[in-house]
Amino acid sequence: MAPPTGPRAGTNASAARGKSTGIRRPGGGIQKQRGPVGGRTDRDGDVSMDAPGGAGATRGRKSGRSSKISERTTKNLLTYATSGPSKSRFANSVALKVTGLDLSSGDSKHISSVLAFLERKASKNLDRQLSINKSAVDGNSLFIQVGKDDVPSFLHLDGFTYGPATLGISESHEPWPQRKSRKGGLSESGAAIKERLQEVLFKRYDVNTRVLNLSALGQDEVLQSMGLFDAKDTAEKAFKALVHICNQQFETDKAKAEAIQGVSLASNALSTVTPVFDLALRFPRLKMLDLSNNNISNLRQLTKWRHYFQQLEVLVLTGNPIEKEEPNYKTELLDWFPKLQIINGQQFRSAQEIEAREAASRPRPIPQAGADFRDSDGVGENFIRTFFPLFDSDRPSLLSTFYDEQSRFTLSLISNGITTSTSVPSWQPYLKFSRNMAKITTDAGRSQRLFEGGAMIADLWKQLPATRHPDLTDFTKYIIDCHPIPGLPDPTRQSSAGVGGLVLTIHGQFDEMEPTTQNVGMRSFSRTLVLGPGPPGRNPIRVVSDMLALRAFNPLPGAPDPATLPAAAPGPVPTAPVVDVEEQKKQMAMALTNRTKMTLEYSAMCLDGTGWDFNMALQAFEEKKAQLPPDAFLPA
Amino acid sequence: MAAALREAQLKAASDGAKQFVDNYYICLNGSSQPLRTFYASSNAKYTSCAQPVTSDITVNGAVLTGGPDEYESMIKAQRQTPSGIETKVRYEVEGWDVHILNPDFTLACPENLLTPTDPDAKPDRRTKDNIKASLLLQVTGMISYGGDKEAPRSMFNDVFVLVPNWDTYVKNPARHARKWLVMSQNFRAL
Repeated sequence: MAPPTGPRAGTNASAARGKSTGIRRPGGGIQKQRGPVGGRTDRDGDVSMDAPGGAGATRGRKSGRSSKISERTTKNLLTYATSGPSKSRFANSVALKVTGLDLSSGDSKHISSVLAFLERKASKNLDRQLSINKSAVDGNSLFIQVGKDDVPSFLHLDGFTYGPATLGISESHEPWPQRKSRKGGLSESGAAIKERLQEVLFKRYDVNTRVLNLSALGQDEVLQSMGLFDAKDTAEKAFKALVHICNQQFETDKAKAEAIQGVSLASNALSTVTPVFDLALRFPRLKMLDLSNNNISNLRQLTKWRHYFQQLEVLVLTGNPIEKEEPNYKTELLDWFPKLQIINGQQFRSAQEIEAREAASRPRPIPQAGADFRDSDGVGENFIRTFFPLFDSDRPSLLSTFYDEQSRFTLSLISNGITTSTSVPSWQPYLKFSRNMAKITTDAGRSQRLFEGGAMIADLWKQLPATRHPDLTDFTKYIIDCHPIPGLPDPTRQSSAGVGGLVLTIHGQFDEMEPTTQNVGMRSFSRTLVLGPGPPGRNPIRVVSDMLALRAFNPLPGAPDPATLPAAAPGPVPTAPVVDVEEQKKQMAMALTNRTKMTLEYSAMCLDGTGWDFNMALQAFEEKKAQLPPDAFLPA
Repeated sequence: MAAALREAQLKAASDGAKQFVDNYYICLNGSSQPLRTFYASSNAKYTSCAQPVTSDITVNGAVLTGGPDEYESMIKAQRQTPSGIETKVRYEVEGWDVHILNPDFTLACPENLLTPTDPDAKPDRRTKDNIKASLLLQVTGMISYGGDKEAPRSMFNDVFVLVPNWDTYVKNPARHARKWLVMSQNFRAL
């Protein structure tokens, strides 16, 4: 994306010169004196040996000025050539500070003439032409760099008058002003222009309809007073700047698409969309576009936008010559913009039709078939009923019951996941233990992150955040598959063919509290557990392998058929932890605040309204959030 | 030497699983290779041994009695739009993890290989590359239904139990023979 060429110092100047030279470096008062440096090549690519100056350099339309500049460059080149490379410009030069000038306009032409004036006056009564190596503007001070030997001649100009200004010239001991960085900043006048454009945008944005009205920009008093729409190319730049500034207001593309759903470009005398093409890049997800009362006469003038605006639903083209000159344009436009429903207020197709058409062009995902729970004698079901409550409340006793010296546990983070939640809790607590082998590729790293034996696993689980898995009876929050497999290690070592066991795969979610920061958040997980018979004298079931994959929260696909899931009888849940109800409510409110950025009071109110059901509260928030007053939210 | 054997086994498991993951999803994304070459049920040693093994495949909760071929036809059908045009469905792996499930796996193992792995033996080439183990592999990734940027996406989780392809435990195994075969698979689009 080219940088915006509008709001900054120098725009006026380059526009005033007539044909502008396209993109120039933004933001600087620094003007390196440039000319035909580096020699010119002739047709055959040979370097022309003539000294680059004099008549040879006076090409182009601004012969008078460029001859002046090229003379200076010639001098520079000669100095460079005679005093050897590299050092001359720096070691043999001195920085001088010129004060007393009014440079606030940022007009580069003005600065050029000041420089020319200084050179001319300093060279007076000398047999050679003095030159300024480089210059820079900082506020109202002009810094110049001149040859060491020329310093007295320039200092002599102290007290001279230039127009209304009395010049002060002294040796500068300040550091050479740095070029303002492209990111940080704009020059003072640039920032002022930006601020005014922001005001214009603010005035032209309708919060209710979410439409940004950029119609009749030429008649805008503020823009007119800024002189931005006087010439054609400035108008285009001003438009780009407006769109760019508007774009800058949003942190995410989603927020942008949400806030600005429509743009009106009515009555801008547009004969083609080329000058306003940027809109398609900055606001690709617009739903409404108003181009009425412009000069668009045929589809060719719109083609630049053809493959953009794929979400466009409403288009207005009334008051354009195209209506008469290309009467069939609507059919074509419906083809260009797949979501387009309404042209000039007339509905051509419905959202349902578009949806149906889109569905017809999409592959059909393999359907979900409920749970595949091929348990053997309720072993898998009983295990799960014990497993999750114990994992949440008492990990050591879970380990001593089901895990032994050969049990293995690993966890993997899937950081690049699909998620509906806006704030994914930090992965920090898991990061160094994650064995995602797509990311951890060294043998040592993989070996380190494999936790073998109850003791090692216990040590790790102590460091992992506390979790709360939802109740197993809530079928919308779990998908649990289970099937038998042969060939697991026989702890009695009797069967060489191995013994049978179960593979359990559980997809679900849990709430988590990070131990040090007390941050509460929700995650999705997929956990695979392979169960085998335990050794004699121990628990009859052992965990052979336990693999936990964590990802950002995303609800499971449509609730599976409850009939195929284990029956909902209260299982043998041992030692349910005693929970302080008030404390639990407080934590829930904090969790909701964490997710929604509502204040604690509003979170509590919201939870109270849904009987302290976290997910219902979250749903209620999603439905009502547009209507909430601003003081319902934490200050940003 | 037990530690060295363990390292060798872990490395063999990692390398084998990586190769499997790389090749399997290329196939799922539409290569001309038949999907069944990845499964134990297409291997004679597994289907004709004393306790015949057929690959147990569950896709989104449905047990596929038709085996890998049924899965392959489901994958092909998934790419078809309702209007009958073939589009893209891409499975993109975001993460995977592998455990050794049984370090001394013997199902369908030929007699001559049955000598139990001696934990003190030098990890020679054979034990390094051809560990006789079964593996548990969990893969997580993303599916995009359609080739364009706007294509709907979902996560997936795919769990495999991989077993050795005994046919590769000979001196000059067939080229392109897969080292690991799927004994059990549980796939879920999430």
